[in-house]
Amino acid sequence: MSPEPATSLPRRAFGTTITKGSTKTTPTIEATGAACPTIVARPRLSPLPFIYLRNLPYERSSALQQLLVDRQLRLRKEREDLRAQAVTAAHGARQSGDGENSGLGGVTSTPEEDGSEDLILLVEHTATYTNGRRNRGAHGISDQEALRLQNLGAVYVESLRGGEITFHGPGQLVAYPILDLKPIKLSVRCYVSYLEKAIIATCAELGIKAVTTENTGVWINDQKKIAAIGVHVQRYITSHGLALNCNTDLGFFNHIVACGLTGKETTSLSKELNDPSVTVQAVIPKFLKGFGATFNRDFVALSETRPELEKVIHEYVQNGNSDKLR
Amino acid sequence: MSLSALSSRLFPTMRSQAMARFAAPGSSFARFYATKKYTAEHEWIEIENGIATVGITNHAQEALGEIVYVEAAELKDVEKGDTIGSVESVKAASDIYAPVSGKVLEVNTILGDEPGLLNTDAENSAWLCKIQLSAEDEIKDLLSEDAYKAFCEESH
Repeated sequence: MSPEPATSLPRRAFGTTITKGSTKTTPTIEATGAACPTIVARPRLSPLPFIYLRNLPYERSSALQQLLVDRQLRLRKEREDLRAQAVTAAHGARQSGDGENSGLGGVTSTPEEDGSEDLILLVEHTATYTNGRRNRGAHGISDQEALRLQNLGAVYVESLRGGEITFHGPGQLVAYPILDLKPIKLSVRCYVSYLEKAIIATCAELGIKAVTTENTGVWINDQKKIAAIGVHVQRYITSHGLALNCNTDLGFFNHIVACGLTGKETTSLSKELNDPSVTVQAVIPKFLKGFGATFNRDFVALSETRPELEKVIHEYVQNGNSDKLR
Repeated sequence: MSLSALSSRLFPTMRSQAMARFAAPGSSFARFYATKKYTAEHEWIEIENGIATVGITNHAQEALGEIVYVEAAELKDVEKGDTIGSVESVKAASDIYAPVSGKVLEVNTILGDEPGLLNTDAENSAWLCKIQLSAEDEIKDLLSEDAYKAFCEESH
């Protein structure tokens, strides 16, 4: 469980209005955003490194994300152990009577959690249908159904993210933020809401008005969905994320009930703008601006700030060698 | 967060108190000790006769939002910290971790049909699973209600 850094904001049951003596369910336009902070806390957060990976098979990206999450958890544990040692040392120094100056100094100089290992993968996948965590194994689709999807020229993969079936492929910007939610004090629910806000801000950069509806994700209107969200959280570290259609071949969505919602359609930025040149690469700068404004954080290329990590990631993507990520 | 690091940082005396409480040789702590304990991963755990009932806290369900799916634990031996299923709220699957080592004896099948019970009764009828403890000394790493509350406030 890593649901959240605590919040004292007024709470209400999701999607419901509590009135005296009765509980009435009312649809909310903002399905996830109730009582989320208006701005993300920013305790000395360094710029968020990003890396762009093209033609990445879905399964390798999932494995890469898990390696990066495990890496974050391992580094966090090391920092926690260091802090615990500092506390013990300070305590010992006070006990022995020589800790007047060294005691608290030793504690406060230990680094706090500051998201310095966060990063974001910007990915364009090869054609893939993926299903969410609740539709795996015995709860999954039939072999015949999987075969039908594969015959469309895509692979079919079961994922550990939330949400249901969707499509990823060329022309779609997929963003996988590997973020520690602790320093920015966002609950899981509010994190999803902020992903929606980041996509809406990106669309606005391109002159498209997008909205949230009672169904999670980002929409042009009640009928037309432009971006999907599916997240996995492990001990406050996020993985998976969002998929925004730039100039995706939307035909792939006609063969599934995307996200389990019947009677809805999927659209793309290029369709809305009637401009086939809205590529993933063209949208990335807009996305970084929208995401950065929403999460109150600057961006930097991973190649600039952590070239050694960038190299290791590229190596892993190319040959599957994960030794240096462990 | 490492629980031992957490407990020694926040509550340096907790370990010794817990040790004293459970130190009597051959004593069955369970007979006089059915108090609810907590983890930094926002789970609650209630131990009776060596069997721990595990769930997520009310605080956790509020932070997750509307819970739409519960992935139940498998009935098998687990180590403390192992993933034992997940809960899915609005498009986000959050892993659940075993707060103690032992054997998962039972899962709450009601949650398969009614995951929303976690939003209304997280700390009672919406328990997730029961684990037969294999290492009773792990209990000392769990947080008291006061310690858990302090942890939640500290994270704020």
